[in-house]
Amino acid sequence: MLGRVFYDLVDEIDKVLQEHKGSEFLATLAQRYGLSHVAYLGINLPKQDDKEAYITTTYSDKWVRRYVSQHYVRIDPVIQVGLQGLLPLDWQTVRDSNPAIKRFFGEAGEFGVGRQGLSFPIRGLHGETAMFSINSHVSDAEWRKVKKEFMRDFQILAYHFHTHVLEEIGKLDEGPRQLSPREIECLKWAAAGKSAWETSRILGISSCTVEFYLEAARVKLNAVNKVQAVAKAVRKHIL
Amino acid sequence: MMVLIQGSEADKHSQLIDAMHRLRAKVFGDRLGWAVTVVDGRERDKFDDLNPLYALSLDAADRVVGTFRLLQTTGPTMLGEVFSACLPPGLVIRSPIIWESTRFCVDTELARERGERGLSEVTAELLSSLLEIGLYAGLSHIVTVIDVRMERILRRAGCPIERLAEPVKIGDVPTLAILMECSDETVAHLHQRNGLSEGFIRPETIMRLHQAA
Repeated sequence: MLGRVFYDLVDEIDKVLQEHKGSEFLATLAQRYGLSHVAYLGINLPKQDDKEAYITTTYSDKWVRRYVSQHYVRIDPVIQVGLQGLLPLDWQTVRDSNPAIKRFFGEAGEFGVGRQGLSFPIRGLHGETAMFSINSHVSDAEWRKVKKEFMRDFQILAYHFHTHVLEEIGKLDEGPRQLSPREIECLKWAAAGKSAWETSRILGISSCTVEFYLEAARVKLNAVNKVQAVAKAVRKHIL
Repeated sequence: MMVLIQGSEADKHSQLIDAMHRLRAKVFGDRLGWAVTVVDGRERDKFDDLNPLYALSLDAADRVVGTFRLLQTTGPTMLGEVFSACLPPGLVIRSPIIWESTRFCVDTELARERGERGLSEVTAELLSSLLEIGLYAGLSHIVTVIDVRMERILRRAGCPIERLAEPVKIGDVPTLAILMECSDETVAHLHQRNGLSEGFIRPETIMRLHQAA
């Protein structure tokens, strides 16, 4: 289940992305989800000229300067632990692991970085990696409640933003974007207002499989949800 | 007990990781006759170099009784590069909320030491862990390639699986791609069918994974 905020957000974020305003996109997410900050760090992106990391955040310049000047990247567990990982990293599991890290998170807090955080590692087809982090000032109890909703929403939003960054630097691997026959069928019935269950009855496959094809089609169409995927498919005359 | 190990941290858990590669050689090389590369009694492939997430089921003596491996489908996967013949025509799977599970196997001898139901218990533990990880990470589906024999085992375990296409022969082995839905309902169903009162991927399981790194 995706959160309600997610649905409200769809049109807005796409407009912002089309205008190539990455940081504004992150700020919009932060505001809508009630987060303190959102940050994206791309590493090994297939840029031709330099090997610099690609960074877009809502953090204050002061904190970014402090982070860089203190070489915090060397101890920041989000980078040291999370980046190689597959599972999203909950900051709760690492923020007290040693005195230096504890101090680091304490100091980050003074610069407005939330105490609770989740970092989503992203991997691409050609070895590119990225990290998408969100953080918040809510209590431990509140965090436990919102975390589950954040997981699904931000897996999708993180990758969506990553795709946008690749597009912006002209390195989006277009890959096989063509939809398979099943994907088109499922989109068609979604466009006709059928639920996954109804479509499953029509096509004689399970509703789990219908959801799967819709999800695969969503990513190919670079849409954030089913509704937008249908709209994009119509615009491209696929449906 | 389930243990999760990040591929990048394999060196820190060299004994467990080594035992896992030996188990995979025994199952996929010796028993199932898959076309895998076994060197010094250990099965490895190039996807082990991509920092996958390993899940290991350990017995009371910390021996590896079962395992599977996870990769994101936004990066290179076996279904994309090795088993694409198992997919319906034109289907490419790439989504941040669909992950790929591979090298799912159980050490039948060690499992049977647990008792008559040992094998199905370990299978249920692995399957449940797979879906629980998916649920934790906000995934919608897990995709995986299995042979028809394993398909029967999964169905018997009450695992809600769907075929993506009919089986095709890879070497001599009828092989197929299947889909599992990650939801509260599918996890609950699996737990109920196997008489499990709680899950295997607990907060401390995740804690250990990230703190060890």
